[in-house]
Formats: sequence, C-alpha cells, structure tokens
Amino acid sequence: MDELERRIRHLIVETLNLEDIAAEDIDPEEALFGEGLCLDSIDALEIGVEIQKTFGIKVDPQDENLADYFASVRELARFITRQKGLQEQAI
Amino acid sequence: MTVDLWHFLRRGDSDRIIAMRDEEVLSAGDICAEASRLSVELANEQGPVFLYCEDTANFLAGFIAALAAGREVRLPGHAAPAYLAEIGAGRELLTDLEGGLGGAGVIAVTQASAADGVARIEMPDAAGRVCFFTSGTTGEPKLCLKTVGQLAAEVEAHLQLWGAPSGKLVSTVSHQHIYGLLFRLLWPLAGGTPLLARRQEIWEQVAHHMADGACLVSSPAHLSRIPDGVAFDPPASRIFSSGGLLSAVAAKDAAAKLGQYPIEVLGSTETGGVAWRTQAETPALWTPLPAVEARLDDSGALEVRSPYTGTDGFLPMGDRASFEEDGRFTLLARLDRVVKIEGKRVSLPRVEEALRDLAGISDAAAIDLPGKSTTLGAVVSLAPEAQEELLRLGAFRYSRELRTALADRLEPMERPRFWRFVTHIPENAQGKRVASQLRTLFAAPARDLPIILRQQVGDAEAVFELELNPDLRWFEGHFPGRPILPGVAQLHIASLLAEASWGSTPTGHEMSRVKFRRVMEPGAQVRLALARKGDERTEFRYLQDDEVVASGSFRTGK
Repeated sequence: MDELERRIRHLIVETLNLEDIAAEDIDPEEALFGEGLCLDSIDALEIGVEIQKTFGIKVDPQDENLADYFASVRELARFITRQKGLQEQAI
Repeated sequence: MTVDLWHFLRRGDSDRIIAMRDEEVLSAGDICAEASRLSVELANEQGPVFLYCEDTANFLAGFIAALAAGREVRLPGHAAPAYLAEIGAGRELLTDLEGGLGGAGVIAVTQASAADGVARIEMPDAAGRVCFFTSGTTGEPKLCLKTVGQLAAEVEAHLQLWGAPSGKLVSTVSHQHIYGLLFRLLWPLAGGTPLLARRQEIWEQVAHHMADGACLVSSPAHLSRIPDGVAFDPPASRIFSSGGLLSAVAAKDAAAKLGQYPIEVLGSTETGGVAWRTQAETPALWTPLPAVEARLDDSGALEVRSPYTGTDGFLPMGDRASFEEDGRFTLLARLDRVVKIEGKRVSLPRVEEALRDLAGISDAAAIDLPGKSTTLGAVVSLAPEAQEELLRLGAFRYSRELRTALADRLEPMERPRFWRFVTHIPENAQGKRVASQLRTLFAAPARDLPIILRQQVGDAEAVFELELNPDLRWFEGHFPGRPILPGVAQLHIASLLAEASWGSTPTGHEMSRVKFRRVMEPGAQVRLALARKGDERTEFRYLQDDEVVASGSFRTGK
C-alpha cells in the first residue's frame, strides 16, 4: 500500500507540474481538493487521465462516488487497488 | 501661436538661470556658449546625430547645437554599448560620458562656459527632427520621429493646463525619453523655471531638493517605492507621473506621504500626451489634453488624433475605454494582451483585475508562459498580513487557495497555474512591465531563483539586481546555523538567467577561472553581470556594494 501511495504522490506532483511542493510533502490523508492541497477541477481531470493511463484502470465519469475516490492519496490508493481487483476478476 | 521654447537664446537673456547642478548655477549664456561651440563642429557634416547625456544641462546644449546645425537628433534610451551598437550610434554619438564612448564629441557645460562673452546661435527650426527609440512588439528598438514644432505644441498644452512649473523642477526620470524631454526639460524651459541638471534617484535626495517647494516629475517606478519617513515639507507644487499607470495603492501611498495625488499623464512615444488624471476621486477619469481628439474605433479600442502624433489620422492606442458624456473616459483592459491558454482566449488584464481584487493581494501581473502547452503565470505582491499566511501555508498551498478564490470570477483556463510571490512586480527603467522580464521569474522553480528586483538584458550583456530571499532552497543545510549561498548555486543561478536571457544552455559543468571571494548571506542584495562571449562561453560576476564577490565563466551551447 505504501508503495502505491508513494507512486500516486509522485504522479500528482509530476502530472500537475507542481514545483513548489515535493511528493513527500503530501500527506496521504490530506484532502486533495478544497481545503488541504487545494487542487481544483482541472487538476482532477488531469490526475484522472494519468491514473487511468498509469494503472490501466477505468474511471467511470458517471460514478456518483467519484469525488470520494479522489478525496485523498489514501482514498485514491484504495480505489485503484479495488478497480484492479475487479478488472482482474472480470478477465 | 506656438510657444517660443528658445526665447532664452535671445540676446539680453543670457543671465537667466536655466539649470542647477550641485553648487553650480548654469545660465542661458553658459548653455549657449557650449551649444555654439558644438554647433560649429556639427555643421561640418550631415545626417543624424545620436545624443546621450546623463546631465540635462549638457543634453540641452547638445540638443540645441545639433538642431541649429540642421542635423536630426536621435535619442538612445540608455547607453549600454550593445544597445548603442544595435541602433547604429557609433562615431556620431554626442555625449557627456567620460571618454566620450569611442572618441565622439564630449559635451561639458560649466558655470564658466559663458566667460568668453555671449555666443550667438541659430534658433532651432520648428521642422527640426527629433527621433526617439521605442521597443516594438518584438522588443527591438524602433525609431519614432517628432518635430520640434510638435514638441512645442505639447509644451504649450502643459502651460495652458498647469501654467509654468513653480519653484524649480526636480525629476527622477531621464530626458532621453519623450515624457522626460517634455516635462523635465522643455516645459520648465518654456515656463522660465530652473531645473535640476541631475536626475535624482534616491527619495531622500528628492525630498531634500523639494525642501523649498518644487515640481516633481516622476514615474510609477519611483512613486510606488516611497520609503516610510519620506515627506515633502512644504508640499510639492505639483507631482507628475507617466510611463505606465500608477496603481491605486501606489497613488494613495504617494498622496499620504507626499501630500498630494500625482497627476498621471497617459500617452506613448507615438501618440505623445493623450490625457491626464489624478486618483483623488474614484473612478479616476481621464481628461483628454487640449487639442487631443479621443474616440473609440469599431472594435471598441481607444484611438487619438492630435497635433502631437505626427500623423493626420487617428492613431490606435490598443486600450479599450468607456467614455462619459463630458468626454472624459475610463481605461479598460488592453486588447492586445489576450493570450490563448488551452485554446481559450484569456485576457491578461482581466485576470490581473480579479487578482488585485482578492484580499491580501496589493498588486498583480499575469503572463503567458510558453512550454509544451501555454500556461498562465501570476506574479503577485502581498499585503503584510497575507505574507504571514504565505509563510504559514507555504507557497504552493497558498497559491492554490488563491486559485480557488478566483473560481467565483474566472473560468478554469483563466486561473493562473504558476505563481511567484515578490516584494515588487519587476519593471524596466521606464516603469513599464515587460513580458520577457516577468517570464524570467518562471525560468526555474520559485525556490531555485532569487528575487529579481531589476534586470537589463542586451544582446551580449545582462545585469540582474538580485535579492537573496532566505527561503531559497540553496540555503537549507548549507550550513546549519550559518546559511551562505553555495558556489554551485551561484553557478546554477547564473546559468539559469543566461538561459532565460539568450536561450543558451549550459553544457555539462565545464567552467573556468571560477573564484569565490566572499560569502553571500540570506537577505543580501547582489548584482549579477553576465557577458556572453560568442555562443560558447558566458562570463559571470556577482557584485555586492560594487565589490566583486564571485566571478568565473561557464560553457554554453545553443
């Protein structure tokens, strides 16, 4: 799990080209949007695209719980692990 | 009838005081004598004469001499050798700089100039040609021609509006540009008011010269940086500002410290003066100068026609404006500062307006940043309470808070992605914001580059005034308890700025003759001078209080 969280943090920093903050500075439980890291909807879009590419998972834009999956690095890690599991079952 | 700029040249007027330089009092006779000497020399040849002087009395002598000799006068904006070469000012440079820059004529008006008796000189003709250099859209210097008659017509408008300057004329701007030439030299000359021959750069000195009531000709570059404790007593007779708009904050600060709101003059080298305002009232409306016709063109942009433009038709200004019924107007965002971000048209002034309206932001500039895709950057200066917030949250989280706060007013693409927090938004010597200068701030991650207070980039030389902000990452752990700027960081900063200036990239780490003489500590203000030796090598020197603290060179490639 820690390794996945580490990869997600790096993915966020690299995708968004964040220059004033290091991956290690993002707390896994810190809110990514609103308070906390204060990312916005464009950031979410870019992170979404990159996550699908990197981890080979599908994100359903219609999913009502989407905002919850993107709440923090930890939630994202859980979401990715779950999606991967589901997709492997499907195969 | 047009005002007679040159009446002081007439016989019988030779004792009139034209200028003061330290303890020296320079009379019309002194100026005349030097002008007459130069004019004889200048009459031997034809073609344009380049004139650059530090001292306004010397400048006046050279100006009259060249015009009287029937030569066109070209006025370089500054005297950096690379720039002078670029505009073709070689042998024909008339100057008061020591050594005359390559052996051309040297001007020196002194109190003793008129000792040999009253000299005679031809009156400059109204058709005399005066050329300024402006930076075109691409940044290369462009010639802009005016006639003596046009300049005189504008001075007449000043006399009509404000009378003669009273007391004496003190200035922080150079006479080499149109605003300085008109306001600091020709207006007092026509009005019979003595002027200070030297430009005053330091506020304490300005205040000292204002002590017996004087008129101040300044610019936003100075008026937005008045130190606490500076006051004019008695108040100035008038204060002028031009060369860029004075921010509301700066106008208020100047009014509080100097006792009155500066009179701002709107215009450009091409248009000459267009309108004036003060910010004593809000909204601060612009009133067209006498004889100026201002109106909106089909696209809603301001255009002007006046005796000062040098053309018969209307000249576009590039700003949108909205007119009141009485002919006064408000300036709106410029039309030419629209950039494409992710395919969407974004107005930079609109972004700046939204930024300035945020709590805690005292001034802001928005700039498009080239890259894989064009992105938007913001350069902002903060009020003190917001600076504490910045320290508490860190630059990144704070910038994201600001970005979120912009969501009310701006669409996603209009919200800046990269942020720089500075004490002052960088401006050039004329108080204008220059896009390339703003972009330099984004040449590297914020904590890699010191604060750039000023910069001047030429073809082969560049000078940066730097403030080593304590949160530069180079100070971390080097050394604990006694941070100093590591040598490798000095090289890195020099190469980043060389790259930002000329697009040259350092190849590997090959360097030579590198000497670190003294340490640089957090908070220090240093000057970095870069000199490009062909495409291959760049020399750097760091100076502190004019003393070299480090120097060397590194290899660069294209």
